[in-house]
Amino acid sequence: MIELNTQLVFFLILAIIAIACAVMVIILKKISHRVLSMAFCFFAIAGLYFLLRAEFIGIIQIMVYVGALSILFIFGMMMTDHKSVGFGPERKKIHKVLSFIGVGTLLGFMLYGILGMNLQPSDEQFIGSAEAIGIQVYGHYVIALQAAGILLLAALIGAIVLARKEAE
Amino acid sequence: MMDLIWIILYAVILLGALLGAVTYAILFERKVIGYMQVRPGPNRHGPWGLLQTIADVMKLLMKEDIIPTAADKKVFILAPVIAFVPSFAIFATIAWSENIYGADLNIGVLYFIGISSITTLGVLMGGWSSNNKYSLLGAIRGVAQVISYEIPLVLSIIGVVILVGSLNFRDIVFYQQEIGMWLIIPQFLAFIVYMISAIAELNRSPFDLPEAESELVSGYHTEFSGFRFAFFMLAEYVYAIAISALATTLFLGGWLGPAFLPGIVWFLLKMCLFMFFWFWLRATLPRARVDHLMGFGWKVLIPLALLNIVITAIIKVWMG
Repeated sequence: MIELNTQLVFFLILAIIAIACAVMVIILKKISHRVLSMAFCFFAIAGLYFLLRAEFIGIIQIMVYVGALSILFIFGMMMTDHKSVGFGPERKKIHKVLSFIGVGTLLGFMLYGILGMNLQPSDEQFIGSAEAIGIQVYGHYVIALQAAGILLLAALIGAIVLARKEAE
Repeated sequence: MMDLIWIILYAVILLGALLGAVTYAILFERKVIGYMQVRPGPNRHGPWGLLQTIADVMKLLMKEDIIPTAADKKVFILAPVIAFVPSFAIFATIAWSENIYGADLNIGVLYFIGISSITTLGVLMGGWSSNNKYSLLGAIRGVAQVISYEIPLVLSIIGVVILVGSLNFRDIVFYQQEIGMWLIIPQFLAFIVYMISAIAELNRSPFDLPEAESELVSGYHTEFSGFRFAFFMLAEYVYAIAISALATTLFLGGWLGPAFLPGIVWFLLKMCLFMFFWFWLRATLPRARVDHLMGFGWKVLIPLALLNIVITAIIKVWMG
């Protein structure tokens, strides 16, 4: 018998929202509804981070995924023509069976990995605080951070060059 | 369990206080603009027009609930809620005085910025689902403006965070108490950048392009009426209050002040000062043009905010 405390209740609510929204991304008809349910899914996952006391990671999840990525998707949706695009005819039965087996195997592996993990319960009040992550990122991984920055800069310049060319 | 009851009680009281504050902020705005234009402003309902906004809200609530036939119904219904809820949720971290505060989060500033960015989603949903070109244009303009000005806003806050070394609202005020100086003095450049980008962030005049009535009817909420429209308006004013509260905490020393008044009164007075500032600008300045607005944000404010971060970091390292 699992003790039904507040934390568990919130976990169940958030987990159900996250899974339901993830399923809705696939089954809904309109693309605008899909993007929205995706945003809700990200939001529920941020709630799970908060529940795990990793508030910094949770808020970054909200800022990056809900605040930025979803908006980007909506802009993409507004700027492009998507009314005439479909997903093609219904797939054959063999496809369905194969994909079902593939997903089932993945689930099996993940469950094996998760159940095999040996996690010590920690007494720390906050996990992954801004300070701890800052020291890691700007201390131990500073070269990797710089490399990622240069990569993003290159992508940014590339996008600007492409956009300018089209405008001219 | 007791904690949960306290949390709910705090939220309910805060919601009531906010609704009252918004009601009288609207009256305050109309009165201020009225006096600045040498006319009395609302004065028919109640003494000094005190019941004017209540009458307006009653009218909005009793209107017929209209959903356009061409609108995307589900999204249309959801949009005002998504726009309003984050504006209320960000008040959870505000520390009103030394002892009156909601959640004492370590990441208070980040929480404020992160949650408030969700409203953009509500605005976009409202503009998109109305199936109206004015709404869509207004929403795209609004989102482009909010995203562009969020960057200098956040960058200007970083200067304060570097000096204080904490993202917690209470720590920020305690630091100002410790150095005996409001952060507006060492962070004056950040304050200027913050104020300008906050106005753009709030879609207030002179940067109220998303609802420029001469071009876009009224922007993303053109098709909304009745209480759905009221929700969008409410979100807008609650944000004005929230941004004032944030500015008070970051730059004007929060609840600090001479001891003859309690801390929360000082906090509210400083907030009123900022509210007055928004209304004052609205009464005096003409609207900016959309390309000027974008150019100003990206070419002036962001470099200034970055400069401020560099200077602050150097000073911080120098001072140890």
